[in-house]
Amino acid sequence: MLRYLFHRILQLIPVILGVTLIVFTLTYIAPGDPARLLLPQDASDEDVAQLKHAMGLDRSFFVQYYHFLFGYDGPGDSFDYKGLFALDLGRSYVSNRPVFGTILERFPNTVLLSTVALCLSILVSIPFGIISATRQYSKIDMVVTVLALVGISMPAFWLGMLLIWIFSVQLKLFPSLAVPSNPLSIVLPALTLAAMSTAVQTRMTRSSMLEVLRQDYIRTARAKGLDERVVIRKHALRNALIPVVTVVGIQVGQLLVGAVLTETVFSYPGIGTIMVDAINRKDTPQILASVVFMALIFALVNLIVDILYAFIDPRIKAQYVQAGIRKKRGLFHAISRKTTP
Amino acid sequence: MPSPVKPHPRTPWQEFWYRFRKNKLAVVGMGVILLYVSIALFADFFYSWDFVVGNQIPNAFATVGTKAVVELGGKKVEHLYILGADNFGRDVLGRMIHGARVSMIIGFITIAFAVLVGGSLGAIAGFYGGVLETIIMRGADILLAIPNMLFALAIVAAMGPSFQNLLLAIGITSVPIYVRLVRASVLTVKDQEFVEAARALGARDGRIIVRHVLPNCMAPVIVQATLGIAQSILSATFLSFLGLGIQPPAPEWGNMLSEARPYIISAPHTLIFPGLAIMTVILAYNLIGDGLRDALDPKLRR
Repeated sequence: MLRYLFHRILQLIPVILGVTLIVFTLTYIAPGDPARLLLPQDASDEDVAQLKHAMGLDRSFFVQYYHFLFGYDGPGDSFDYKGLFALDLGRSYVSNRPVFGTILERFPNTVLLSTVALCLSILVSIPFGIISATRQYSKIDMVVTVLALVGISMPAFWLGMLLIWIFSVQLKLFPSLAVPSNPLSIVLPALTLAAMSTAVQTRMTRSSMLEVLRQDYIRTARAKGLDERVVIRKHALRNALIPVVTVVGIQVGQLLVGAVLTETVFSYPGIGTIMVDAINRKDTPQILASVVFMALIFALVNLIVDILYAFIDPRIKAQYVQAGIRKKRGLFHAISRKTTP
Repeated sequence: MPSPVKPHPRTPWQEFWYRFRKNKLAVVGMGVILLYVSIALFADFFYSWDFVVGNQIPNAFATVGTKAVVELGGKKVEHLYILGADNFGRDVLGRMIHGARVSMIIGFITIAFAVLVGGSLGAIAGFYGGVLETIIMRGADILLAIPNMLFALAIVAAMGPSFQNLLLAIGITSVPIYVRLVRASVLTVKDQEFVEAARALGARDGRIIVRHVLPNCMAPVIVQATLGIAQSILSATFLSFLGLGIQPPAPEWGNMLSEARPYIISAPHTLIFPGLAIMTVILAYNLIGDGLRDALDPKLRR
């Protein structure tokens, strides 16, 4: 198990380096000079060059990338930052606040929204997936299948606006804008965000369940006279849920990205609105920080899901144990081959 | 005496079509896409571009089925707003039709690019293996580690919003999945006898890959590409909705929704119809994708 954990965490390093390199490269090759943006319109070329020097933007690509990761200590103090690994990428061009300060302040809101949406989607999708599979081709199966298909085809931002139109404009049940003080205001954003994952997970649960129900051991369980409910709950569901867990894991990452859209529609104060505001104001450090932050969170969530997965599915763990045994055996064979003519 | 069981020799195409046709939903999906493609092709025949982007302020928020006078090329003409007008008095249906053209183009070009680039890289990685494979696959892994839409958003945010950058962003982010898919298929195919036979006949690597290996790897790629087009169109509308894609006044479904957003209360029709257009297209592609998977996947054949 430790071997697996170690291996999996080791795999994260090139991913983190790759992701940061990509995001950094994007800002490096982006048109538009941040130094010129910061200065007034009529600034001379010398002023721009001076500011670029102060910001460290006149250095080579790799030096700047190094600064990006491990911090920058320029001639002045105003553009210093401690680097990505210290969660410090300088200050926003617009608000002049530390970019990660804003992100960390709002991130709990996004986590809250995603968590509510995730719970909602699991609570809805798994029961409906099971019902749909156990009564294949029944009316309820048809309804669930069609709804799930519509769900995966619905753009989240459109669904959000439709929900606002129905529930806050027509029925006046929920507020259309998200206000942290009003717990009711999270209902519509959470529903919007949950829709896509619910649809994906329902489809996955259904197909996975259908596959398991066709297996021989299920027939055996039924043949020995077990109650159908026990067969479903104890025998089928446990194995059917394994691929569902993977999909739920992927959905956690998707929820964070989906939050960008949902938050924009509902003006919900999370990391998505930070990103979109930053894009609209061309606030490069803030964009960079939010994208890298979300990508890293995504990678981290995937790591956690993979580890949990190994706990749930003993086959994954077994792979690593066997790989270890095989390696030793391979060595033994190599030695024995050499000694025998 | 003739055998009582008549053999039904079908060409692979007939076989495929026979299987695909059995899935009624997939056929409906294909019909919807054909409809959208023909609408996109003949967009100018229905509404002229100038009319679709030109403001008709007096008719702002005309409701569904309103008849009103519009100015077109200096002349005043009676016009029927079949699906109403938006905040600038522009015809919603007309903008949707021209928007279909944009969405269809984006879907095809980005996925064609991704399949070509990703497919070649995947074929090289799978066929040759070694260091080349390691480099290509690690690169794909890293690209896959960033959520697609977030990556596309970062690219357009950095490069600036334009049609080319939008295509590039969605195209690039779609590449890695085809790398993986094609590599995996090539690995299963490349050691089979017919490849060996081709090599024994003296065919060069390029010919073996293009003529013998790749045609046998197409099934999963075709399914993924169909679903990929849906994803591309969705990404494009999403980026345009955030103001990073197609810029108004050029019509695109995403930016139509973005423009409709402040008027949810007063003009819900400007919100509902473009969204329905997006949803039906995505749904249709998903249905076709499901149908293709059932028709092409040998595992499900009985």
